[in-house]
Amino acid sequence: MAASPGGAQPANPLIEARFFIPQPRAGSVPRRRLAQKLSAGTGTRLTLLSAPAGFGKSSLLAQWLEGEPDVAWLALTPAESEPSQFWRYFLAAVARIRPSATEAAASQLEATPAPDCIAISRTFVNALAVESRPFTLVLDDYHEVDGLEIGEGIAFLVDNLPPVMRLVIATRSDPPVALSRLRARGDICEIRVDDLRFTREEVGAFLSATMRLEVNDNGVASLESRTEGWPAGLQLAGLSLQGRDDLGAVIDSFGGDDRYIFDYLLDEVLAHQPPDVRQFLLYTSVLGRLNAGLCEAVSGCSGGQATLERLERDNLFVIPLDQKREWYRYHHLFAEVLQAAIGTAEPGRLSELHGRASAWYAAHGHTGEAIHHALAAGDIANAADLIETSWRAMDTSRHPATWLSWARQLPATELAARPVLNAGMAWALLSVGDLEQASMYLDAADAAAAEPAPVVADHTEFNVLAGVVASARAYLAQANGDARATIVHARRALDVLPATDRLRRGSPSALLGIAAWAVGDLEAAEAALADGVAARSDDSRYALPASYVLGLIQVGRGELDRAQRTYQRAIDVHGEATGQQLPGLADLHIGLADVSYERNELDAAEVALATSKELGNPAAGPHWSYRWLTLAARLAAARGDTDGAFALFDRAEEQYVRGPVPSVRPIGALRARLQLRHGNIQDAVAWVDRQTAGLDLLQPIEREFVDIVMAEIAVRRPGSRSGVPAITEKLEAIVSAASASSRIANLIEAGIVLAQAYDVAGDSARARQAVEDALTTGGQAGFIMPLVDGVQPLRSIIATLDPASPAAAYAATVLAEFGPGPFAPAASGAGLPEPLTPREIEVLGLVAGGMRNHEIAERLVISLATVKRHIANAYGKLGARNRVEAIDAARSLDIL
Amino acid sequence: MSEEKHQPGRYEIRVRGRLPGRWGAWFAGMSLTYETHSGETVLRGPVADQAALHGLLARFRDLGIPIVSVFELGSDSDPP
Repeated sequence: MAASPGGAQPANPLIEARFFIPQPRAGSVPRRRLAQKLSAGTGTRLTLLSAPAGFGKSSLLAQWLEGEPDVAWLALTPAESEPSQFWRYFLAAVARIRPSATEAAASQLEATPAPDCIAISRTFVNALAVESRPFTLVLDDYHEVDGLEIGEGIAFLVDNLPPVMRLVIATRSDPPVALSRLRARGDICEIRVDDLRFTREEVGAFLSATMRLEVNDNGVASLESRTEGWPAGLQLAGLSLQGRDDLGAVIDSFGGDDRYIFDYLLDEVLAHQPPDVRQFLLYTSVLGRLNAGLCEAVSGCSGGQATLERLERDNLFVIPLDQKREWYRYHHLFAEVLQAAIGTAEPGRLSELHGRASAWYAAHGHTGEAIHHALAAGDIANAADLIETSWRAMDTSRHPATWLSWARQLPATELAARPVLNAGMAWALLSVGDLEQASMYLDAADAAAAEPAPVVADHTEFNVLAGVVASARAYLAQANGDARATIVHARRALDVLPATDRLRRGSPSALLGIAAWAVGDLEAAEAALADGVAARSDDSRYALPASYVLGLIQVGRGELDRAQRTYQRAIDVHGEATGQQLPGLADLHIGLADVSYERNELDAAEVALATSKELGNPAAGPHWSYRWLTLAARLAAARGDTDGAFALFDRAEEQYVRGPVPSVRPIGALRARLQLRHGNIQDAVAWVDRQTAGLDLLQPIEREFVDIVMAEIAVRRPGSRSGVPAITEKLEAIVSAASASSRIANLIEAGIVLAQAYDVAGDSARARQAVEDALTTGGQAGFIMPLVDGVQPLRSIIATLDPASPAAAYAATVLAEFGPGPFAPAASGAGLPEPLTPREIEVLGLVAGGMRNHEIAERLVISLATVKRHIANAYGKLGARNRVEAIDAARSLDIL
Repeated sequence: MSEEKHQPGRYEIRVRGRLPGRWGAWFAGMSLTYETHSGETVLRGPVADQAALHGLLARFRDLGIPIVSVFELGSDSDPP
């Protein structure tokens, strides 16, 4: 199989047959007493059908649920015992009737390659809370997947399931839920082996209606006792009686033989089949599912479809898996006994049959089943080839956990000789977060590649192995926070990977970009990310988060328009056009809000944040919540809602998750600066004092902004004059470094603080130059917000700028944001415990001018609620109870 | 989980009913003996480890054959 991505065939397609709701057989025995028991169990937490093979669990459910519209069915096989596969099928089954209930959990599953079963289960249960129409989910053959992890997820589901969903589990072994507790509470509807045994009446009905045999009462009684009411045994008995004249005598002979009844009867049945049908049955018994072509390939018999249809008609334990009669399976018990029979009759044959099945599945793109049969055939090398050549497609379609479960079945000796397989193991382990193991397999890949004759199935991957391993090492380094090592490995990967290999260059160019950003080289960062986004433009799951990072870098470079285009294009291409809400889409709207915020377009920023929140969970990347809260806090501060801003910063900090993407505006620094600018110098200083220990952990780009904020605090704390020369020196260094590397956003922030430092030191010429530089740079880039916040203490300096200069013009634009009124809190409202914000002063001025609240809202293009909040805040700070008192107080304090 | 050493042990598994000797191959090469007086089949033989034992028991479960008892015989009690 080609290891090319994005081919026509998905790497790990869902097998539709798993979801097929079996239809009751024509002439099947109606099991009314059991159907009544099931119907009476509505409202219980769990419906459990627990009995050995062949007791008619699935048939009973098919009968009971026939014609019901709100039923989802999942027939499990060992292939779903790997948790991510299990939940993929589980959610796909429910999605057929209640798609909205599965979206959040499906997104979570997509985003977490190695899922926590309880977390997926919880997300699913939460989504059920808004479902109102009841439905039923059947998990058939649950024993096939029962393991610790899936069991925990199911137990959580049973404990927390809202009544809207009825969970039905059919299994040969009890699931790991607290059955005794459920029984004590009457919270379970349970059908066990003794319920499922055919009664004598049902035996009689089965023989006459289903098997079309005329058996007298003695015969019925004798068959009932010989089979102990076991439906599968009875069906086999019926088959062996067909075409016999002497039913009584044959039934008597059953009683005289105490062999395991299924084995005994199967011999009888097989003995009466034509030789080609006998061979067909025996040879195809190794197959988990059957279709005509596959059966012909495996059995060597022609006429597969006709044979399958004949077997179904003759009650020979063949069950259709779709309406079209394309796929079938044998009754599990029947297949198992047939396999035992062929295993003893022709011991060497089984591996040959599995080998043929593997080849057929591989040729038809069913990799998982091809691997299963290759392993069953004992053909380890072939299985390893299949696993190796499927890696790239499984990685691209994000099924690393499933692929790992395949690869882990291989013996260590087979693995050790295969460089590509080891590299695949490393990447898959990185994807599921196991960094330590991944590192070991990278070394093993290098070691295997260095051998004189490495075993290679996928030569395409082998030719680029050095690049693939270097990319993985770059990923590992960045995940460990070592940006410099990331750059070394990513550069090496890009050196050795062909320039045309867009797929494999995507990851190292993105990593190079993030690492370059982390160390402050924004130009290289932008180039690398832009390359990555362009190369993987058809892969939304890559392009969405990469576009967010690219936009942030562009903002850092002062390219607001370009950042806005980056975000908007990604939203258009990967959100609007696909109609999907993939993780990272909601983050892009935060990016748009950030661009508007920097331009001081607060309403647009608010709208973008609201859109981001509406998109919500499925579209949110893992870092969405603290990113959203941080910008919401900054927006609240800009609106003058300082208390709200602090509360939002606190929540953002709670939600913070460290990741490979740098946090260029760390939450703590933003909060400390807000404290400083609102006169709470002690708390800001306390933040500075807490930083010493953690500073070394910051990436250089994070450190730069923290240093700027710490400098501003140092400049503005009382009695700072003696420390100013050192601070000035530090800021000069930051300004020159940021200027050299075009870190425009930080250059503006640092320039303003530098101007303050010169001003405090009494060097007004340099202060004027610094503020002029910052205003010029900000004006060119269209940044308003950092200036609005920063220039307040510099008003007297700004007044001395040449009125004809671009800086003075831009200062006018920036200062116009405040309307008339004083700017520096010290000059106005001295004596207030908490100074009014510029916006509060502006609103109060309009109130004094006689405007009504809604008129103010219209004038300032803010919401009515925001106007009221500003007014309430202003009253509170002025100690006023009403308009008149507030205006009087403000006038007496020279605020108005 | 303890650091239990899974040395191959020998087991005796009793199931209800008569299972012909040819099934021995299907059950990982165990010997099969039918006891007329109890109506039970006795399987004896080596079992690689706990996982193999569970696999064996699941096979009885999947065939619908009732298990009567499972004994560990110890590694030397029967000559191979």
